[in-house]
Amino acid sequence: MKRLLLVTLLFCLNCLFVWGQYNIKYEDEVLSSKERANLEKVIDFQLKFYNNARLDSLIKASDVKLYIYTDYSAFLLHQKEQMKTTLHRSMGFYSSKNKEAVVCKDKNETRFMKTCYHELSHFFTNTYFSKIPIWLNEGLSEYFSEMKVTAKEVKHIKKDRNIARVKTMIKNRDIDLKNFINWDRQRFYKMSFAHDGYGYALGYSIVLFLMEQHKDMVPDYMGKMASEKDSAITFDQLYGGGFGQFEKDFLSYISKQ
Amino acid sequence: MQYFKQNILTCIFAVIFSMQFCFSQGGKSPAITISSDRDRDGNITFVSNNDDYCDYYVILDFPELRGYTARGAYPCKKNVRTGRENLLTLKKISDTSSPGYRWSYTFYRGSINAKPNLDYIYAMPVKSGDSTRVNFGRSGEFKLYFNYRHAGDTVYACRAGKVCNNDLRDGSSKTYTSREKIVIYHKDKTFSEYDRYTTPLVHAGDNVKVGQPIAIVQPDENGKKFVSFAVYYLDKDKMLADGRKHTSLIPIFHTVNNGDCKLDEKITYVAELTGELVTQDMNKKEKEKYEKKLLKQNK
Ligand SMILES: [Zn+2]
Repeated sequence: MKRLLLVTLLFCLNCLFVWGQYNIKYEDEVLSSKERANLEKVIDFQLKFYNNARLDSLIKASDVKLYIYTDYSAFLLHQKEQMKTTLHRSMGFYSSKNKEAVVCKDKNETRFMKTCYHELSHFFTNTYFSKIPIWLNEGLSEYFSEMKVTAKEVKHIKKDRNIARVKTMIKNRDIDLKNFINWDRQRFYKMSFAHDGYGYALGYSIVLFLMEQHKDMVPDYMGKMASEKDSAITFDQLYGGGFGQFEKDFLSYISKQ
Repeated sequence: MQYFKQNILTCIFAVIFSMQFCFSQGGKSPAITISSDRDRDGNITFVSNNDDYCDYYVILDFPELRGYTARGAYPCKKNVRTGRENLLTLKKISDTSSPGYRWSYTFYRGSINAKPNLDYIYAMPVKSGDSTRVNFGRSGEFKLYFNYRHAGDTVYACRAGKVCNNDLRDGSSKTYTSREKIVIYHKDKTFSEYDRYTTPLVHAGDNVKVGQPIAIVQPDENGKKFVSFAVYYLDKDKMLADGRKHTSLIPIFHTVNNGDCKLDEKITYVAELTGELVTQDMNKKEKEKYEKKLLKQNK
């Protein structure tokens, strides 16, 4: 069996002003220098976001754990050991046993990077916000998987497919938002696989709306939703006008996209 | 997409190409064929021929056009009904020395003007009075797998419509139609599709009524009897994007124990066929006829 490649990310706290102060170790040249640089920037971007939402101790860069496999069958074997199952058509997962994101190297570079970003977001949510609702958990992963990295900045690029999917849901009267934000994991994945990525598209679109329209409040939502089971109550308490207003604003925002 | 040109050599290649295309699709012929008629003045009219029993959306394009003007906009995009329909006419410009054109077309099952009736209540595909449960599919297109464990072996139509011809194929190589499926085209230009372990009792072109027996379920290797049911329509919003051009809907079913609802897993539902379910898609005349017939039966 090919040995798995461990990427440890150590952050030099006294060199905050420079990029690339991570110490990334791996045995083969799994990542190209561009992939490595982009990954570092996105990790830093996500780290800042998630640390913003945390009230207690900060997450250190050296806490971030990401395994990258080059061999697909070794990846599957590891997945089976960790999750007691293998996920169909998936190139990444979060291992709650080891508290780490696990990804398999993909020939398609763009897809591979997106999977890394997606699973990294799960690393943060599942490790440090383990009680956040599934719509927000997957919504954030969908959001963070679509990042454009340039020399100057890391920027989210809207996922048109997800927005179009939600527009279709609205048109076909296929959304019960209050119900959706209280779905458990089982319901979320079942409906997403049964109905054209339903939960991923809707969760993403809500996250997009919050990030674009209420960015400053997202950390509060994260904190509150990690402890409050019913997301509708969080909206009632934090959103001006309560859940009803949130629903109205969200639907109107999507219709304008 | 298939290309055609006014040139013998290209024609030969086109024929070979089309033949390969046919063989690779299990020998099924296209639901839509295009022919062109030339009049005395050299003008050419393109005509579509739809061999299926539902509408198709056809896009006819001219990547090359010399010495002709198109009467009507091109690419020509049109919903075509069963049979022949004129698509577009090329008018010859009189003083052109070497006129020529090349054309291509593609087509999708359904109408781009589909307006799904979201209030429609479907009958469950089991016998009135029998009970059933459903499982959701995992293919992405919303599918309900009806369990026939306590519901005999006959599949009943959930909605009235015309049975489509599944021995034809549409214009995209991605969408295949299987022989085992029964696809029914409805008044609101949506389709419903019954699949898995069925022997059909209806044929392409048949008009079926709600509650009409349409197929027999055969148990699978584990002795389980399931029939999948899906409702979908050709989605104009998907025309420019890659991938599937159809969108599936979650239908509302009439049940005795849960009223009219979207079905969920792990709940047993009892089926019922009511007059309201039967007459939903009928116009005034059809309704009167149905009620008269009912009165006669009750006498
Ligand atoms: Zn995910």
